[in-house]
Amino acid sequence: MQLELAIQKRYEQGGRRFALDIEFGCDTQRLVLLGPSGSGKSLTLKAIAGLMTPDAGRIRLGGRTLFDAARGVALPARARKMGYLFQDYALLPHLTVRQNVAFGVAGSRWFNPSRRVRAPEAERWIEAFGLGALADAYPHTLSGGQRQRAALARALAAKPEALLLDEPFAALDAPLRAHMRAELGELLAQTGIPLILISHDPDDATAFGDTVFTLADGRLARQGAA
Amino acid sequence: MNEPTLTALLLSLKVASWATLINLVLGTATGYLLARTRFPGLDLIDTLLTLPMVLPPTVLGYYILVLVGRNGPIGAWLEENFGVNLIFSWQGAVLAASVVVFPLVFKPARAAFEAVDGRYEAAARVLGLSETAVFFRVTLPLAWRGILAGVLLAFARAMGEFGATLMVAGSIPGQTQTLSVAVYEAVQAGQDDTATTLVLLTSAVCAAVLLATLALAPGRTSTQEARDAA
Repeated sequence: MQLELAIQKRYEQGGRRFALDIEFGCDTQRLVLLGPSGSGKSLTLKAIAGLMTPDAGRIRLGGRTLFDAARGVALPARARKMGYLFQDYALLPHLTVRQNVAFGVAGSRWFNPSRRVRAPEAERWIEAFGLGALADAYPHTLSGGQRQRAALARALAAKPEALLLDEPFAALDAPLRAHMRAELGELLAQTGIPLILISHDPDDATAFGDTVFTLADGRLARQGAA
Repeated sequence: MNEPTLTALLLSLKVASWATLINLVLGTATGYLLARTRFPGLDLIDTLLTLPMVLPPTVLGYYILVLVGRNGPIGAWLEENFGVNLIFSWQGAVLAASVVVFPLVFKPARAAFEAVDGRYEAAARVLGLSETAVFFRVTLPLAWRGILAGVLLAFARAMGEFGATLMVAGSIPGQTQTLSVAVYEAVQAGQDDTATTLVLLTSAVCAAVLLATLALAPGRTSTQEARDAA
């Protein structure tokens, strides 16, 4: 994964100011951005996914220009083909697990995939994550680990060019965290899909950080963990 | 039920249905726009659009007469281009009812759209959906309950609309005399039996609609909240 990123963004709200000014490059398959909350790691991930538009700078990933303020390029999120795992997974509450997983690959402009949908890409990941028995359940009935698997399956079914994970293990208890880390590591090894993970937990950097950057106060503090 | 009563009931249902349908589209669209755009003067627009809820229906009726009457700017234009005159027609009653119930739809719709968590929409965008698809597959389904509750309330209120309807559409039996107007006419004419029938009928229809609204009201049986709590 070739990632070049240089972005600036200023926020001012209610007298509080925050300035994001990050620049780094990375050519390993797995990248971890480490930092406490408010360090700007979440904004950086959103900028890569196209959910936040920087004021200036550029983002290139795997030879594609996703954003370049100087040239007026800003691919919308839907065209970036990123697999984004939200911190609390953001599974759609009105859809079953199967409909959620098929969400990006089935359905039309007006309608969601039906409860009876069988999209091969979705079924493959439902199978792979052992979600078959839960496929017709609604997200609120799932445990934390099951939700994470369902959200990962949804992201992977859309065949993303990279996985972007926002604090993927923060909501899980310690034994489950270790288990899910191992599971994710296996998945990455099998699929070879590039990973960008943000976390405040140095253990995540140890597990996934081929390259690690530590962020603080909207800036790159250093390469490597603390 | 005698024939004039049935006619008045059917007319009331027709007027209320059209007013509800019009507001389902206009009220929902306005609620969405106000929930998703930020500009100076937003509060002023919200206030103006909410006015029909607090203004006396006769005042609204007068506004409509001034605007849509033969000499009003909109009325003259309609007459000239389409040969249409809304005053003293059932379509005029629809217009009056639509204006009166508009806030009952757009207010809850705005609140419902504002309550939709932006992360669900973000998740859909990242998964490749266009903005139209995000609206119809994520935003609208998640806001639907709140919108529907407002729409049902609007239907019940439109069924009972009296003041503005009387001023704009008058009280022509069989043409513009809705249930509520017929009640007034019956009492004026001393026909107590007719008035009683009409009043009970109106109460029953409105109670049925309110019951449906209660079952759908957000916060009571909302599965969304049950999910959040889980």
